Amino acid sequence: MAKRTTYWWNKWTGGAIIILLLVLTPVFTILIKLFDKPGEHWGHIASNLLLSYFANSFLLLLGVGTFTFLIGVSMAWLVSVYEFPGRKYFEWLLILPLAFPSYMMAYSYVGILEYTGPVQAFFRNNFDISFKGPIIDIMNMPGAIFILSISLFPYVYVICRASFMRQSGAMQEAAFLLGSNRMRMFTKIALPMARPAVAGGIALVGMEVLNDYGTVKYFGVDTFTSGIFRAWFSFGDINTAIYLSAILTVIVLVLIWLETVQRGGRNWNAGSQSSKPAIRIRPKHKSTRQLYTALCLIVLLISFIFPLLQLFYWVSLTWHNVVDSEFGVLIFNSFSLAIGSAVAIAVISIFLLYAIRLSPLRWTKHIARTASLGYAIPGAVIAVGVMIPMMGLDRTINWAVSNHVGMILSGTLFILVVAYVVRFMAVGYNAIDAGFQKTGASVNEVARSLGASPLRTLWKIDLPLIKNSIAGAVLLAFVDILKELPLTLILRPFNFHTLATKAFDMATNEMIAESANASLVVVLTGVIPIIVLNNMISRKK
Amino acid sequence: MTMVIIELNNISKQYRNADTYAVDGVSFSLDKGEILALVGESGSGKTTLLRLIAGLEHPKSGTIELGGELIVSGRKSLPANKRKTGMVFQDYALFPHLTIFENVAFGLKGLNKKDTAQRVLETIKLTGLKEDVKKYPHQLSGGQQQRVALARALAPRPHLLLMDEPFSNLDTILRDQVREEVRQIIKAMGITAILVTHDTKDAFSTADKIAVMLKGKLLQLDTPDSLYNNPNSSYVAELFGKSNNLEATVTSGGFKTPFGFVSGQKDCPLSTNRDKVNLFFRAEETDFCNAEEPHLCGMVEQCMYLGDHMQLKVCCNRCNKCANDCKGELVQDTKSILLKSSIQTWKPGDIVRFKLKNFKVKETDTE
Repeated sequence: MAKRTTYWWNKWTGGAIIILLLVLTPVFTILIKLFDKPGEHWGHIASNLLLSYFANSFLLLLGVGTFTFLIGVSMAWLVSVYEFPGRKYFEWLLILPLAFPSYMMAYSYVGILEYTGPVQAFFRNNFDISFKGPIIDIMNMPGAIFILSISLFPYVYVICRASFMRQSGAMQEAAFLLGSNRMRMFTKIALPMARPAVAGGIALVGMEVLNDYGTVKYFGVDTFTSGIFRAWFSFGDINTAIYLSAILTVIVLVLIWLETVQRGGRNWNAGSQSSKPAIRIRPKHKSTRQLYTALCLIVLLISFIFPLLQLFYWVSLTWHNVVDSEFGVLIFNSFSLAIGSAVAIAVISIFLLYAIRLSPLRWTKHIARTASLGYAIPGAVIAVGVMIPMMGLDRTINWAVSNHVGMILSGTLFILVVAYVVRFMAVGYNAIDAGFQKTGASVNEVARSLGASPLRTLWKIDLPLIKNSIAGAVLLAFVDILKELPLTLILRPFNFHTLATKAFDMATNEMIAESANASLVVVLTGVIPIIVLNNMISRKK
Repeated sequence: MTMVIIELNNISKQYRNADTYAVDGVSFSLDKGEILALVGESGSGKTTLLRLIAGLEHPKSGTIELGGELIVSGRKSLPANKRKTGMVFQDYALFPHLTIFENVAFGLKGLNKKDTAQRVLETIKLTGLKEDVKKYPHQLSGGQQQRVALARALAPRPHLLLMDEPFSNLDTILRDQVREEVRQIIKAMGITAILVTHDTKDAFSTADKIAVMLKGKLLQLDTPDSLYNNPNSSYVAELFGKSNNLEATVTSGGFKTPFGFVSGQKDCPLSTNRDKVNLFFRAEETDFCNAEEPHLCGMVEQCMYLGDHMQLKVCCNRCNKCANDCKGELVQDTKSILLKSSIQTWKPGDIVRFKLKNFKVKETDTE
């Protein structure tokens, strides 16, 4: 007689619970430390610096939030509603700034605007005008807002464009028949409907802003993240770093909560799924069309082309000094670490999502989502949160074998992989979840009703069907890891460099032109998934 | 000799965040070889019930026995992959990356290559699919995909075949044909089957027994014939064709209705003490008559042309132009009257004289 088992329990559920606990450990660790005593330098930081951390972080959030909103929404509206020369290309070209890590963007712009840079040289050589110092000093708060805005606006742009495209043509036609013009249509219908999406995009931008270390450090703007670094590296005060991390985590959680609250019940989807999208309008006047093209072009030039050209220029000057076998090793290390971690993320995501699929309990879905919480938490905080339990484990291991095996977990690449998994789980998780959603539950259910075990079903049915999503997940996670800076800076083993840390290292050590070599590799690699994914999407159309 | 294949005992299921039960205390059993149709509107719980039987959901309470084995009770449950139930999904859920052959062979275990091939081809042949088995699902038409889904579910020779809206994705013409064939195939293999449908025509033409569900409850489970002729509620009656529930007052020798007097029939003795009753009759259970015979009389309010017949909505103004004593609610009670052989074209305002060929006396619904 076949054996009955407890309906909600299976090996997958057990495994998923363990993974979830492990992934959430860093966040819990940090939050628990909030109730602990801060370190010895806490008093100094609290009285002298904490206020400026708050003020600067808030100003950055406000400024970058505003500008990414303005640029992102207007660009999205242009390309999804109007038809003008080049519209088809701008649609995906405007995503490219995502491939440019903001700190590398910062280095590029400092180069563009400095005395020897192309702008000043141009004025000097042609008009014999010379400036003292940089034309516009961007190494300050407004500069940081500028750099972060142009590198992060695609988050708002992408999500907002998707929302505009989903809004049904019929609904827009209805608005027109009711006598609305384009502007009214935008302010009364399109934008309010896209509001949850826009807010989601800006929330992502906010998380990236709080995560940023490279830009603010280079520009000398003190934020929470730079405060964590200062406490850790300058003061050597881990407890204070943890305490700052805990405060930052609370801020992030409040932001997430606010975003969820504003979303509220408004999870409306613009009309029915099957409805055809609105027809693009071709402006009557040629000059209007040219204006739209020009607007897109200017944004693209500023946010991607100019800084990229600067990188190329620097590389042409310095490559023969930098690109050697050591640089090859650097690329190899960086790539293999990122690929390994990305694969780990994909495997864990598949495991979690499959456990949800098998589970007859519906709420497991919501619990498993917390696995992607790491994406909201700044890298520096994750680093601290991973470091504490790992060091504890190392001590236990050393004590247990009563021998000094050293820091075999916290002092090696292992800790980096763990931290990457925690930080970038969401990237892989969402991509693979989308794959599972698209295949639907019924093929899995039918396979099991035909007597296939859950493992066989996964192997024979689900995995082959979502293999594109898995590849996408690995690719996206890979690129994100390659760009990652703050977490890697804190957790990298002694003398180990990735392309990101090398670029940062060189730039902060007055070798900004040399740093461009590593930056260029990162940026060009980051462009690949954008092109690949864009091709996949346009082929589907 | 009959043998009970599946038995549900007081099965209830409540989804999280739902106030009401999706399935509410359902019990029934099914004998080997029978085909049961679960009928109900969307949200009535019929698909949930099917998924509970398949092991894709777990009930809040109740037990399920399959082939004499207890498979669900309390928190214990036999996993779906060990239940030996075949399932045909509404969207067929064919594995898009496998060929027809591989799809059908998927559920076969413990057979060698030769036996597998034989079983697959045998089952495919049974379903009448003549396509190349090396084709992929997307190369097939809807009707062919349906056959593959059926063959795949049947190949492992399940104890029980479950079908969720199996015909709803087929167009009308194909549907009639497939319905018939599916019944023949299932009967030929002697398999017990449960199919879920919202279409009463599906149920009538395929099933031996029909279970009507409403808001998670099982209203009535019976043969198609009894359901049609002896519905136990107005919902069931309404579901299987146009019917009338005419309010009437009991008087000596018959019933007083707004349309006139109906004399009592001998085959429906008055078992009730109430003086208010309902007369239940189908739209086709009326006949026209001329003024000489004793008759009921009303005025045509609406007529609908339906090809081979017309449907009239008749109101009860006692042969006069709508008078003040015409009560609006009575109009609704006499929904329609079927004309079988009328040459006459009816139009609103016409006076219609008719008699009831057959009717049943029901207690008034206390809703």
